[in-house]
Amino acid sequence: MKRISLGHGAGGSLTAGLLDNLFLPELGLPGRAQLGDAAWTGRGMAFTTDAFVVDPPVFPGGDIGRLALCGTVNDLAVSGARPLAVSAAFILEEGVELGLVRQVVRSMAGASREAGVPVVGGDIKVVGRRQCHRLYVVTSGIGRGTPGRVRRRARPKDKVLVSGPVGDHGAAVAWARLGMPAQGAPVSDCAPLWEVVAALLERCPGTGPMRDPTRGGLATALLELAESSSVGVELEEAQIPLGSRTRAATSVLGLDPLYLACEGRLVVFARPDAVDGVLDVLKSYHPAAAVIGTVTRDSGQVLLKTAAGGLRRLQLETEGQLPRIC
Amino acid sequence: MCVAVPARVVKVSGYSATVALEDLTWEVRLELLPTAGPGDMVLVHAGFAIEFVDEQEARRMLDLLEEVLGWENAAP
Amino acid sequence: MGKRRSLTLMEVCGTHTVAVARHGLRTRLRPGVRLVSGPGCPVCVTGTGVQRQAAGLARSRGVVLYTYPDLLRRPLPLSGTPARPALSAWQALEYARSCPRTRVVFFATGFETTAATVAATLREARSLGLGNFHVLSAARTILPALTALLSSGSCQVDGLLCPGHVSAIIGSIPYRRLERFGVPAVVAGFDRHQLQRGLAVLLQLAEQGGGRVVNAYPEVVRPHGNSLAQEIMAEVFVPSPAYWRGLGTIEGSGLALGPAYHEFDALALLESAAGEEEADSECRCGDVLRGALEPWACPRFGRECTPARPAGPCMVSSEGACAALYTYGR
Repeated sequence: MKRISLGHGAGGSLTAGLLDNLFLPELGLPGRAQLGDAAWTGRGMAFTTDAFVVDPPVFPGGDIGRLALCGTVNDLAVSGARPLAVSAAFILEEGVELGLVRQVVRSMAGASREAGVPVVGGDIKVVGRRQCHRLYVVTSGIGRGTPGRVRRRARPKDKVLVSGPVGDHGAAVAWARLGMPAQGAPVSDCAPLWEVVAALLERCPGTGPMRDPTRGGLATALLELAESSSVGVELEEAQIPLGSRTRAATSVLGLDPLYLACEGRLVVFARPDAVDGVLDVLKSYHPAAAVIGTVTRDSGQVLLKTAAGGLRRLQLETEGQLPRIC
Repeated sequence: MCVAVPARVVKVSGYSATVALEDLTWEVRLELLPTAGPGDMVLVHAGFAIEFVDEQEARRMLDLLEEVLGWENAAP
Repeated sequence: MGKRRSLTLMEVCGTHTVAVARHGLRTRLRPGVRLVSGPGCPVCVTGTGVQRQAAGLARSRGVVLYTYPDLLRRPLPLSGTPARPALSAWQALEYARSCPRTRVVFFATGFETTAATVAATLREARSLGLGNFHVLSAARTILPALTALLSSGSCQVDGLLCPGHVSAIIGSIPYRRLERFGVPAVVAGFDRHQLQRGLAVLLQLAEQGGGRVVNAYPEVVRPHGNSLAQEIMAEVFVPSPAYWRGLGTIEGSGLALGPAYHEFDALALLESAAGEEEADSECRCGDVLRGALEPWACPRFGRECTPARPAGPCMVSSEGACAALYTYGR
């Protein structure tokens, strides 16, 4: 196979393969299991970068500007680094409306104020018509912290928690992309997470690992965490919080909310004796935060006990979720 | 095949209807179910309402099924 | 009559395949009961020939082709083409109305549920006198395939779980045609309660033996189905031979546009016939679709054939027996 397909960008097994076989070896980087959401550069500085190509660029609950700012802040946060500054590069398609650009930049500024993380620089490029789709954003961020303050490996008997309903962002974007009506539509959960992470680190030291389950959703984040910690996870479907709009939209479109992106949620592992404290912190940010599972010894395996009483093994999806009709 | 969901008809205008599932609303066609009206629960597939959802009638028939087959409709 | 020790139940609906896997229902079946997937995934059974024709149209100048997102998955022929996803044939119709100078083609796959919506859309196109709207139909009906399957002798099933939404259109009565095979048929719904109910009833009937049709989805399935939908389909479509991957060509199992709708038939836009189906003698999809082979028993499953590199139709579609099992686990 000699060409990049859309599936390579979906965050599933094709993306993993591309990283393993091309990017990581060529750049002399460690294996995927050792990669975190941010890289520690020494002297307690963490660095991260991210590209945003979401279509449509505006959706209920946010837009590409807010998404970009929060995404980078959150990658630093879950690594245990206090975000200090973000830079933003914009790639604009010739012919894109100035009004859209202004809306996106304003939204980024608003998210920046909300997160308390300034945008200190960036770049603008314009490409010809149809050479990109309206606008893309690439953000980079630096933060300060102590590597290892977020515990790196999960251990059997740990509990798994999630900070709120899952799949809202992915559902919002999928619904909007198909041109479905905005009234009653799912709303993206896009939000900065440093405050809640800082509270966890302060009040529940030794918590971790943690991840913001973006592309590929909760299932993918857990599969990656299980692999990198060489543990298994057993989830209770009935405990996984799911918003009613997301549940409805995913039923209509034939999508699986466990694989849809969250952009303002944390998945956290906690020692059994620390679970109550962690849950308290998470619940103070969202009432639907919940304990959703337990860590087991079955390395790399993520099992879901379904609400029907059955057992389902979660796997990495190949390419992203596509609506099903027929 | 056939991803379809039950939804409630909210508004009808000719053969076009707005249906709702929880807060979610969207437009569907009624050419296959022209007698559907506001308040009806319908099964929606590929942009069309294809049948009425009748929970009450269903309950009655399932009770009959239990009797006839001696099959127990075990609680979920 | 005591419980028979081992039983094979078959579902024939891609959405059932996915629902069973998503709820982990196989792990709830008692030992000795197998649930296999039959030819119920439209994407899996639609030949690559017609999909390549659709891809050719999608790439043609002045043509915009719409189809269901299911058909756009890698590595199906339509992936990577300008084909656009539509949740409904009506969407393609509306686009055709808004762009009268563009030729708009809707590539229709699916069974009776979907075919009914396409028929209603074509009727509207006709009443509007739309000259730029066409349908390439790969739609098909389920009963001829079930009849072919059960009469082939190579298919040993003790019970058939019938597709609830197809049945909403055709009703439960048509399945009586299968009674002569002595295999019970239960129409089932899709949420976990409806599905568990359908399976429980089917299991009981299979244990008793004997052909019987039971509607376990009375919420939406009536004995005669939606007769208006059936009339509209009969007005627009005529039965035609259709090629089913893994089963071969089955007479009268396809739905082609009838003579009254000839001007909307995208077949007239095509320069050549469908061309040969790709033959792969190593591929065991036919056996899987007949329920004669479990996906994990196929020598290629998980090795040369995975969702990332599917070698056969059962692995290509997310509703295919092999893909669903691979993705959702055993």
